[in-house]
Amino acid sequence: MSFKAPDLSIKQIYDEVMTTVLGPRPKMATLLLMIILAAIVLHGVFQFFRQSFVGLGVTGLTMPVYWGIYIATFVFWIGVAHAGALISAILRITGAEWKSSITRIAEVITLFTLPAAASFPFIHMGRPGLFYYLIPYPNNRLIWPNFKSPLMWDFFAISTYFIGSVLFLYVTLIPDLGTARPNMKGWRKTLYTILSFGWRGTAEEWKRVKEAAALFSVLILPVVISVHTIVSWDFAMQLVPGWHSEVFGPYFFVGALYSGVAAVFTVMTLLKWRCGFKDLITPIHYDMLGRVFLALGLAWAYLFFNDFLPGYYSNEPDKMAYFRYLAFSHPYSVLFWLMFLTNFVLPIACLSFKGFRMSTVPMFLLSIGVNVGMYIERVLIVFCGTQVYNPLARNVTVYVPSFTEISIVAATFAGVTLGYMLFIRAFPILPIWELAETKIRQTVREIAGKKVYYFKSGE
Amino acid sequence: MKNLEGEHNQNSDSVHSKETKPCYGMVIDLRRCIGCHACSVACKAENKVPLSVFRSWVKITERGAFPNARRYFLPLLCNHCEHPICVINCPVKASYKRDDGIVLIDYDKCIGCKYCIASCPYEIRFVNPERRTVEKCTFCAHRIDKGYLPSCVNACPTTARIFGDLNDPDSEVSKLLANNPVQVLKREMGTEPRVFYIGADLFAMKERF
Repeated sequence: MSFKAPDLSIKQIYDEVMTTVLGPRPKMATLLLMIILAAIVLHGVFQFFRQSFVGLGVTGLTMPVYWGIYIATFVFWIGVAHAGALISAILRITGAEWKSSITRIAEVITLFTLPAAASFPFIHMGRPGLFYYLIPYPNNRLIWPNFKSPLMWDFFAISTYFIGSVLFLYVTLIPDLGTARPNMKGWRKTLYTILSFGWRGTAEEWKRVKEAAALFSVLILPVVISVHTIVSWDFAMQLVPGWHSEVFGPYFFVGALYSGVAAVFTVMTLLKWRCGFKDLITPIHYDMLGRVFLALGLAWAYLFFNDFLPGYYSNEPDKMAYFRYLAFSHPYSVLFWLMFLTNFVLPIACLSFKGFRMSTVPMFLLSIGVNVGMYIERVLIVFCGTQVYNPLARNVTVYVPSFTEISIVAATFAGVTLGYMLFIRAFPILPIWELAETKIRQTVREIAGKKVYYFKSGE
Repeated sequence: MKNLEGEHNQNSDSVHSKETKPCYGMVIDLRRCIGCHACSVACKAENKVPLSVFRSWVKITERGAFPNARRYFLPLLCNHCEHPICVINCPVKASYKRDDGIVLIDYDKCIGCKYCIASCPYEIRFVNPERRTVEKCTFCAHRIDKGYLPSCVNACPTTARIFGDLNDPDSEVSKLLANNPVQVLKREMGTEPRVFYIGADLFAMKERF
């Protein structure tokens, strides 16, 4: 079954997408959920200030593990944030017609997960008030960042990526804001008027938006690749045996895309269920994105084995000690094999079947499973690298995240969800103009009695 | 090194620095070490190290079965490496290496990102829970600058720890290095430590305890 545009008129597409914005007031259950999420966020903020006031003693961080769940969650969120730019950019470049329903869903994930990720290095700091020492601005205190440090590269990579992906999201949002502006009332009218930047829909403006979108898709790709490679270099550049791996750059990158696509599936399914995009998000989308998911799963598995096999074959002592620690020691072996199951065995087995790819509920469950697996993978890399590492360690305490750490991590999860819920109340979550464009460009031709849908390229 | 510990001489100090810069190092003669922890205690007292963390400690391993059993000691402290990974990694240049080879932390600059802790192969760094910055052994730089020996060297009852200028061929450390087989910790890390061990036990260096 090939892809075809939804059987809706452009007016119907507009109405269906705008139901999330202009539809009836949210139900009590939704409001209650939002209040609970806000409470979790506030509790996390409170715990952060408490940690800043009392000191890092409230965390479980101690010798030998000083990079704990904060950094693991940081890497995880960066990974999920890769959903946005990659899916939009690559699908735009390759001209996949089915992308229209997915691009903005993915970009908004980046919009919220990237700040969640970027907050962790600050939360993790002993003296978060001094974070501005990382910013290279001339000052009279002789403070200048060390550009040899991978942490500094992180700082630049993440800020570049955040600015780039926000602009990317915004540029493709402008036509929708301009189109929807006349139908808006109250605060939305003001918001849309300001944000639509005087959009009138002239040919010149369309040309510019399309050029900007095409340009961003190309420019953001190297940024996407570099960001997660640099995050992996935080680890790979160190001599810690579990971290010091040449394959970490591509391994982290592919892992990031893998968890990103999984996150898109989760959000997409929730939107389909809760917001009623039944005609716009169809099993075809699941199938198509499912193929991308499968390819990424295979790539992840390839790099995962590539990380361990050379060390195993040559019986490299440090790497083998790390592997044995992961696979057979008590606290971590359960997590390791769970990750192996949810990241490798289940996805590869299930996604190979088209019937599975096209069914909503199993894909939803699988996407959550993969992200649980990816979270565990981050946790194992960050904790176990230093936990197993050193024969000279004074202390062999097994690191367990404290209540403070868990509540701050939970706060970012709640914050991302809450941000997403608010975003879909304020802005159209599917790009109306891209859906309409796909619809307009579609033509039907009968070949041997079968209807074939294809898409004219054209302006 | 003539200026250390009471033999301070104004002239020798200035003349010496003109010839070659000092490069401080330590030799730990484990043939003499009795595992008394006096160095750990002296370090804590001298540097006001808080509870639960140590700048210097003695790792103790036991091997064999009675009657062929023995304890092995391995005093650990910052190695003040020639190529310190921690200094390369510090994002705000709080960790730095002095001209005389001592690796120090500027506590005013440290933001507590703990990257140096994660990268140090010797697990010598820790977060000072009171100051919230990273801390480690300084070779008692404040004492050296005044011409005294580091506190742990001062306290060692069997003179197992010998501190001195590696560039001065007449110093005791240079003589010990010239006349004895020595080991360093984790040579494979390429950090070129300046703390040398005489008679260090392979298993004490490798084994977890």
